[in-house]
Amino acid sequence: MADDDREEPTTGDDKDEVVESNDVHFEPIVKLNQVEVKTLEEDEDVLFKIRAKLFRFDKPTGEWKERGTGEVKFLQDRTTKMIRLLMRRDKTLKVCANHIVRDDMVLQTNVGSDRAWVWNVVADFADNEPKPETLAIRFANAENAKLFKDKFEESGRNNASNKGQTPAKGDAPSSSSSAATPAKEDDAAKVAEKLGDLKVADKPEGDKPTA
Amino acid sequence: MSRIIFLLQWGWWLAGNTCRITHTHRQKAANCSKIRNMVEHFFGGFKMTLLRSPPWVSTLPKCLFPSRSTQIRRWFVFRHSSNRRDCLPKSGIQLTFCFLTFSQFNSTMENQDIPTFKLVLVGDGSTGKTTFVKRHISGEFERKYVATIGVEVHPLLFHTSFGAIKFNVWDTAGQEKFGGLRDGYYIQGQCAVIMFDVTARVTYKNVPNWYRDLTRVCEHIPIVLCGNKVDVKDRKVKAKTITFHRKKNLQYYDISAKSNYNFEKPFLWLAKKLIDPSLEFVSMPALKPVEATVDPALIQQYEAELEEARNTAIPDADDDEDI
Repeated sequence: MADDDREEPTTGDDKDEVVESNDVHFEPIVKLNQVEVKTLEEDEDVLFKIRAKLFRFDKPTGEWKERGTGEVKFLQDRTTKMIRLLMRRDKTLKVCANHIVRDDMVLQTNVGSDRAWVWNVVADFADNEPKPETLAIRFANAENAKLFKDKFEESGRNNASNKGQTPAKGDAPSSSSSAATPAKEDDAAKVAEKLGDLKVADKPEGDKPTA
Repeated sequence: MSRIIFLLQWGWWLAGNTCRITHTHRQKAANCSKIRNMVEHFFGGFKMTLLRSPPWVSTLPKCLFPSRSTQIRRWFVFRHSSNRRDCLPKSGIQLTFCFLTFSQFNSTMENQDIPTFKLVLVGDGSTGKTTFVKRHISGEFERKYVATIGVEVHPLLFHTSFGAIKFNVWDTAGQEKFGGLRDGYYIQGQCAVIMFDVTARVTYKNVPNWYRDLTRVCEHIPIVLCGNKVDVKDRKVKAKTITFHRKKNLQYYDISAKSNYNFEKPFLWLAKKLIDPSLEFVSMPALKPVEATVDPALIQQYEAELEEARNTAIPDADDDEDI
């Protein structure tokens, strides 16, 4: 590919925008109506949200694979009070993590990094069906990672104390029939105290945590 | 060798041809001779033998079976050993084609609520077509270069202000030697993306060839030209030299599968053209997760496996200016 090395004529300005072509009309090939699409977050409150990068561990290759960049949120259901972790990718707004935070999920470090956490999920619903995943999440800095860890652990404790009162939603995706983790029987006062601890982060939309 | 055969047969199975036949013959159940006729029509003059119960049916990719309840019981499989050059990577390799019966085809492929569009993705080898598609499917960024052989079809779902839509992305081989059926893959394409690599001039020089081949088969479809790898500092194809799209009225985007720069734009523009100019992407509905009931022994096993993940460094720690 000798001609590949030929110099392009340049004016020295690389930042030039590519000129748009005239907009050509194509007759739409389907007729669809505008619809209102539910996010299914309508009956939840955002307890905390922060920008992050998510990875999943691919066991066959033993490699971390990127899953998405965007905002990770802790959402609390107004009725059941259960808290889930939900993350969407920027721009396409597809879900890349979606699971209940359990108190037996332990955030662990990755090769000593102070701004990333690793944890196991037995049933992540990012692809609309439960899948076990090993996830890692990385933040801009150690402070953000610490904030996330605190909220994650609070949410886990909250969910553990709520378990007894949660009405079943849909079929539990359990393949292992036996040995459910017994719900902790916390008294109402303790539950209320836990809920009080959870503050709603009122960050404006699209706000970036300071790096 | 079996792998190559598999990709080709898969390609034809999903090919626009099959759709067209389905539209012109609406019979509920097709008999063997009818299918044989239609296959002969498209592969004119080939000798074919009818096989029963191909053993590799179970190896077909999952995306061909939209719902688990769909049972596909009847397969018509044809095998020929022609050495027609333009169809085969090497002469003498046997190709196998399979077709569902018409009624089953209808139930699996057509009666879905989601509007589906065939998108043809072309461009020179190693411009990043497969990496771009994978980025959209799982979020991953694949660094390893594995040449695509023939074609791989990936369904890509997007949630829009007009409901969910699906692009069946025909990710074709860029390298000539792995081209497979080539423009056979373009048949009934409804939109297309031509990709080049802004760090390799020759890939931009070949854009007119890809355009010519594509538009020979698909006339007047919306096409996006994408210059990939704009994250690379030493860009070779400068913005002002990119002019081909203006002559042919294509849409152009600088993109980067690595940094996600503009990575949604090609699909968004095509969706606007195919459906409505006011279309936007919206949040995918996030189903309420249910808490799994887990065997403590299983949790223990997962925790043990976590050690490996903990000791494997997460990649690209220096690449976080987007968070």
